[in-house]
Formats: sequence, C-alpha cells, structure tokens
Amino acid sequence: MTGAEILVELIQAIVLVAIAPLMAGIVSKLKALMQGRRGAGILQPYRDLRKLLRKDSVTSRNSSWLFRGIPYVCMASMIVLAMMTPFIYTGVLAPYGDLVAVVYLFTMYRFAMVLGGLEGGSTFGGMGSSREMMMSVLIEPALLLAIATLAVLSGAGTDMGDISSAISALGLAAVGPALILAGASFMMTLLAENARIPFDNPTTHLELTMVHEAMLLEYSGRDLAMMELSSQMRLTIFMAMLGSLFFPWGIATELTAQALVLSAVVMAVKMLLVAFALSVVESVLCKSRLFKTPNLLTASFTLSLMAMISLYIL
Amino acid sequence: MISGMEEGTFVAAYMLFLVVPAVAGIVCGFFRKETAAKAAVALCSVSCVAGILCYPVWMLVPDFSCTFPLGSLLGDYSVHVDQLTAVFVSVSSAVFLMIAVHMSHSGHTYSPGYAALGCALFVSCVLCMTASSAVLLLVSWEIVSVVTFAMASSRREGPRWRFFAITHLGGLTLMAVVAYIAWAAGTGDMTEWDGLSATLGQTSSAILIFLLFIGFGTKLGTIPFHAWMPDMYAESPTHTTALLTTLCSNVAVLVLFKGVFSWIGVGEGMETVGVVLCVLSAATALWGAMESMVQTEPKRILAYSSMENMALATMCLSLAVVFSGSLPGLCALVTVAGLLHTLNHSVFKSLMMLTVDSIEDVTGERKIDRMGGIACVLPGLSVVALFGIMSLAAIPPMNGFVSEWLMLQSLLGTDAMASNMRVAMPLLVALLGVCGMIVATSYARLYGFIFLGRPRSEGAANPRPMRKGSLAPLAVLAGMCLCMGLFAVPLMDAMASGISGLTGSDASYSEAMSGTLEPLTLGLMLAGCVIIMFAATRIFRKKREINETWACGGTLDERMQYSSEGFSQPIVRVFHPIYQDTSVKKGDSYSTSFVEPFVKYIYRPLGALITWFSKQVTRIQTGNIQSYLGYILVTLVAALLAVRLL
Repeated sequence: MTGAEILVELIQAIVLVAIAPLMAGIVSKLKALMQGRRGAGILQPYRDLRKLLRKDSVTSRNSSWLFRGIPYVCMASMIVLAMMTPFIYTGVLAPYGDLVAVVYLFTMYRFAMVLGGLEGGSTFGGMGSSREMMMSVLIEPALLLAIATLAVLSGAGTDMGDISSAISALGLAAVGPALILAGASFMMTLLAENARIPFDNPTTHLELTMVHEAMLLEYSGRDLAMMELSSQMRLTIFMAMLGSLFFPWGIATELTAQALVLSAVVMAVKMLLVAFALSVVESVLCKSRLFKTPNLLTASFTLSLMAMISLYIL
Repeated sequence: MISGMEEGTFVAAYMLFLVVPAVAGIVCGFFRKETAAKAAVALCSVSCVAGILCYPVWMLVPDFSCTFPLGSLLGDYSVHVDQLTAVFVSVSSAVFLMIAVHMSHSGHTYSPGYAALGCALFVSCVLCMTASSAVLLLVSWEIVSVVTFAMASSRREGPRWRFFAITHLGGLTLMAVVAYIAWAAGTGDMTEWDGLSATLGQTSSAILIFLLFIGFGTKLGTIPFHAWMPDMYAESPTHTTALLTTLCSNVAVLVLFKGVFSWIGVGEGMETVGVVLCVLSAATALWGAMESMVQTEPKRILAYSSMENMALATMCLSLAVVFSGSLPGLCALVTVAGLLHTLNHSVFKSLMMLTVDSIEDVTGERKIDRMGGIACVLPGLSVVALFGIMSLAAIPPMNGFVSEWLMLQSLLGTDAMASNMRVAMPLLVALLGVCGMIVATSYARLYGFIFLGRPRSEGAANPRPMRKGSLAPLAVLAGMCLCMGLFAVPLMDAMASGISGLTGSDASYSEAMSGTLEPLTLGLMLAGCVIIMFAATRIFRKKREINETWACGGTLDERMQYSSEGFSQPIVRVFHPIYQDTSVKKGDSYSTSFVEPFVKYIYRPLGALITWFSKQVTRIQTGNIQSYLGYILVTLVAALLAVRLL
C-alpha cells in the first residue's frame, strides 16, 4: 500500500463522514419539494448539529455511565464503517474486517442504541428498543445475505473493496437475477435500517409510531448531536454501499486522477439518484402499521435469500 | 530440551501436581468443618493452576502420556495430552479457577461436601478430556454425570432427576459406542484408535458418529434432550450451573470431536449423517434462541442460550463431517470455528453465570422483572457484565464475534460453493443471522432489565454491597473475553495445528478463508475513535445537568416502565406460530403462557405410557402367596426351557 493510496482512502472516509448531514438535508429538501412545501435548506442539518453542540445537556438521574458512553460507541462504529466502505475508490483504509465485520458493526451500533433506550427507565425508550429489536431480527439477516450474495457473485472473497472492484470488472455480466434481487432487498433494508417510511417515520414524535426516535428521547445537547450525526452517517454509508457494491460501475479501481474525478462525479450522481428514490418512496407511501412491517421485512429477507440461492442454482 | 528419562519424571510430577491436590480436596469433604471447605477450595485452586499450565507443559514436552499405577480388569488408566487437549485443559482450568474463587467469596454457605464435589468434578473433567484408555474415559464421564447430579441439590428434586435420567441415556449410548469401537479395534488403548472407519465400514461408522452426537447431545442440550436444561439450570446452585454449562460442555465437545474425527475418522460417503446432524443442530440453535427470548429468569435465559451456542458448535462439527471427505481445508476451518466457539462460550458464559449469582445475592431477587438500575449502584459489576453480554451478542472485537465470523466465513467461502451442500449454505447463513439477532435481543433484554432503567423492586433499589473479592474473578473472565477476541489469531493457529495433529489432515484452515480478520486492529480502531472523541469532549467541556427522566410532564412510578414480557412481545407476536403463546388473565394482570412442545408432545405422553405400563405390572402383585409361587414355577420352567432350547 503506497502513501498516495492511503491518502486517497483516508480522504474518501473523511468525505463520507463530512457529507452525511448534507445527504440528510438533500433528502428532506427533495421530500419537501415533492410535497409542495419549500422546506429548509439542504445545509440545515449542519446548523442543527452546530446548535446542539453548543448546548449543555440534561441527563436522567436514573441513567448510568453506559448512557454517557453510548454516543461515542455509536460514532466510533460508524466512523470505522466509513473507513471500510468503498466510496469513490475501491481500496479501503480498513481491510481488517470484511462484510461479516461490516454487518456486525451495524449490529454493534444497534445494540448500543437499544441499551441506551432502556436507560432512564422511561416507557418510550423501552418501547422503541423493543420494536427496534423486533425489526432487526429480520433486517440483519437480510443485510448479511444481500452483501454475501455479492461476495459469492463476484467470487472475490468477502473483503468489501475486492467485491466492489470485482463486480465493476465483471461489467454487464454481473447484472442478473442475483444482483437485482439482492439490490432490491438491500434497498428495503436501507429503508428499514435507517428508520424511513414505511417502516418508521423519522420526523414523528407520536408514541404510536415512534421506533428510532423513541430511543433518542433522553439524549440532549452534545450527546444528541453525536446520535443524530451517527444516524445520518448510517444513511450515507448505506447509500454509498448501494452505489459502490450493487451498482459499482464508474468507481475508480485504480489510482489515477482521471479515474478519481470521474468516479467522484458518477458517485455524486448515484447518491443523488438514491436520495431521489428515497424521497419518492417517502412521499408516495405512508407509514405502515407496526405489525405489518414484519411482512415487508420478510419480503426483503426472502428476496435476499432467493438472490443467494439463485446463484447456486442458476 | 528435556532428555527421555527426565521427561518421564517431569510428566509424572506434573500429573501429580494436577491430580493430587484436587483428590486431597475430595478427602476434605469427609470433615464437617468450615475450614475443610476452605481447604478443599484452596486445594482445588492449586490443581486448577496446574491445569492452566497444561499448555506450557505441552510446549516443553509435546504430546505427553502418563499411566496411573492403578490396574483394572479392563485395562490401564492412562492419559495422553495432545495440543488441542492442552488448549482445552488450560482454558477450562482457568474458567474453573475463576468459578472456584468466586464461589469462595460469594458468601453462600456451601457445605464442605459441595467443595469436595467441585474437586471431584475438576479431576474427572480433566481426566475425561485427557483420557487415552477407554475405561478411564467411561469412568470419568460417569463421575462427571453423578457429581453434577449431586451438586445440583435443590428444593425441587424433579429437575435433577430428569437430568439424571437423560444424561444416563447419553452415558449408556457413549458406553455402547466406546465398547463397540474397543471391540472392533481389539484394544482399549485410544491412542491406537486412529481412523477406524476403514475397518468398520461406512454404515457402521455413520451410525457410530450419529450415536456419539446423540450421546454427547444429551449433555449439550440437543433437542429433544434439552428438557432437563432450563429447570435444572434455574433450580440448582448457580456455581453448579456455571460448571455444568462451561466445563462439562467443553469436555463433551472435545471428546465428541476426538471420537468422530480421530477414533472413527470421517471418510467419503458419510455426508448423509452429517446433513441429518446439521439439521438437528440447526433446529436446536433456533429453538434455543427463540425460547431464551421469552424467559423471565436470568438463569433460564442463559440455559437456553447455552443450548443455542452448543448447537452452533455441534453444527460446525456436523458440517465438518460433511466436508471432511471432499474439502479438507473447509473442514479444518469449520472445525476450528466450532471448537473455538466452545472455548469462547465457556469463558463468557461462566462470566454471565457468576454475574447473575452476584446479582441474585445482592438484590435477593430472581426475576428480571424485579431488577433494574443496578448499573448506577454497582458500576464495576455492570462494566464486567457488559463485556460478557457483548461477547454473547458477538459484538466486535469480543471473542464471540471471532467465532461467529469464522462460522460465517466457512459458509461464504468459495470452497463452500464448490461443495454439494451449496444450496444449503444460504439457508445456514440466514439461520446464523436470525439466531444471532434473536439472541442479541435476548441479551439486550437481559442486560437492560438487570442493569439499566429504574429499580423495579426494593431489593434492586437498595442492593447489599458486593461481597469482598467477588468482583475480581469476574474481571479476569471479562479480560479473557476481550483478549481471546483481540488475540484470536494465535489461538486459532494453535487449535488448528492441534486439530490437524488429531485428524492427520494437513489442510490449512486459513487458506479456506476468503476474507481477512484482524480483531486486534479492529478493536484498536474502535477504541481509538472512542478515545479521541472522548478527549475532544473533555477539552471543550459543557455543563451536564442531572434531572428526572422525561415523562410527558407527569411523574413516572415504578410500574411505568417496560416489562420484560412487553419487551419480547413484538417478536413473540411475529413468531406466533412457533411460540404458540396464549394470553392468560389473572385478576387484573395479564400474562403470556407458552407451550414447551417437547415436554407436551414427547415427554408427557412418554411418562404417561410408562406410568400406564407400571400400573399394568402392579396387577400381578396380588399379595397372594400362592400366585407368587406360581410365578416362580412359571419363571423356572421358562428358564429351563430357554436353556435347553438355545
């Protein structure tokens, strides 16, 4: 690994972290436009974070040391994930884990957040944690299967960077039932994992509908800023994975200035497309009832399972 | 290093160091003084230290054996320590030592007899792991069963008798298998049983493998033999449970592995039995995970979780049976995964069991619905318990993560795709994912309801202080959880070379892996991120106000908090067809009741059948002397006829 390579990989991880609030801002702006509102500017999430970072925080007297540590753990898991995700260049800074480690880091994030929801002893927190875990029982296996399908499809092993470049090299030959099914499943997982409609509503604070937000009620000030940022990072990492693993064409597989610039442009377009798709879904669908979501999740799980089985059968 | 003559003396001295103190500890059980109990624990600890040194001793004298100067009709009592056994003995001894230290500081008034039984358990487990003669293996395995039975005394006698019956079913199976192999090999010396499948033939080898899995499965909780587990775990003293779930499982898996891959040896044409066992293990894992989700007592949650973890280990071994013939590299990988998971399980499960013991001790409560908020009053305990929970839930970079990583890696590798099991691979990946998330939910619930939130009872609100010295063994175990995760690679290498020594295959497990794992780097990255951000927030410090939990403007009372049943309710509702749950209304309170189908559909009818049969038999007991004379006459005539005719 050369110095230039490390530099590019480091920059790509930093960019992935830095644009996280921007992506959240773009999605909500697009959503607002589609619903006939003007909406806040796309830089609003940055302003929110700045506001939160300046504030003092209030903590429940029933919460323990763990509660104060959880925002750090959530941030750390997302930062490490950002380093493991190929974004504009297929090399990643962190090849010391692979897709299994990626899925388990998402689990780590979720586990920490669920424990945080049980802190403080409010009814909301427990409710959010309980619902979150119910969904995750079906989300995580679907995620694991969808990414594993790519590993088997590319035949390049389970390291994230290798998968991306191998699929990119396969070209159109990679487009088959497996990739399409896995991509569809991953898109549903993206919605579910990031608490978007129809699984959850990120903007509501109504106890009947909350899942993700219910776990965040007790955080304030800087802690809340970290939780919000890590949640935005999770969305961005998912979007980046969709663009760099499932539809990786255009990504820089070698280190030339031309390839990198091209890749950056292509990636920006892909991210915008995903953001657009996300806002369409969120404007067209309504949040489904809590006990209907398992049906959707099972569908996503089945899609990814079929994707993987199709690889072995076809 | 050490010459031949000295080597024999050295090994004999080491074996004395290993066995004699614990045997002396057993003798202490005959005295009824409190000092005798302390002496027994101290002597046992000495033996444990010797056990921990097993791997260093193995490095000095590779593959040492020793014969005890005790003759028997059926052969010598001899032991043989290879590399894999040395790893298992060392880790198991460390776990045992921590359990013993915790026991002596836990404040339970165990009788000297209990401590002596602990010594007996240690000796018999070590001998069972190292045994190289069939008679020693069977004798020590039987002692393990009887001793754990004796240590499990409780107010309700039912569970431990159930354990006794089921475990002896397994013991008898094992005896039959070992006796058959000894007969076929013509010797009771197990060092000479290497790969007998060629002489035994495919069918009988497959049957023997199946019987070995079932025999040890009774101890590991393979369905439908798990019926004793939850009750026995919940009712018996926690230290017994801890020993049972860690040490005995280690012994069972190790001897199972040796039996299948070293004595019998797996060759071509045994895929069918591997597939059958794999399905059985997978069903066990799923069932254990689902049931652990709805239990309300910590020990029951851990009982079902043991079942799940051990099922994953046996699943790996059964997959190894499948791959053994055609894909040696993959076979090595999946075996390392299974055995490493067993060792990891013994460390994190003993940590959790001991934590639960401490919690029950300080709060006086046994249900998670009566606990809560312990992390605020006992932060030290909550930190070590978090390590255990993270390992259980396979969160990187803990040891549980490493073994699950290996399992998934063996299913996703390119080798697995080439096998004729390939269609099953996605299903197994899905199974691992679902099981993993259900148990993670179960552990989040366990930790959250014990340590977090507001106290749900008087005992949890004002717990007694921890017993002096009872935190130290927990901290050591937590450290082991972390270190076995971070430094997993050398451990895996040691186990792999031990495995290839036993199976005789020199395939490298790392070549079958299609990804890279550096848990140490991963852990350092995570820790580094946390530390940098923490330092940043320390420098730019902000005020932190402590206030009430937000309650929509009202005040929260004790009942206004999620209950453990409420927590698991969404999952129960999603998986209703499996759980078969029904709501029960009792006065003003609702609760959910579950059917244990194995008890309802297998054990109850079986019990009823046996009772009915016994009632029929009692009919001949008329109490009339003439009829008894008649029976004697009939028996005599029948016996004479049989002798004459046969």
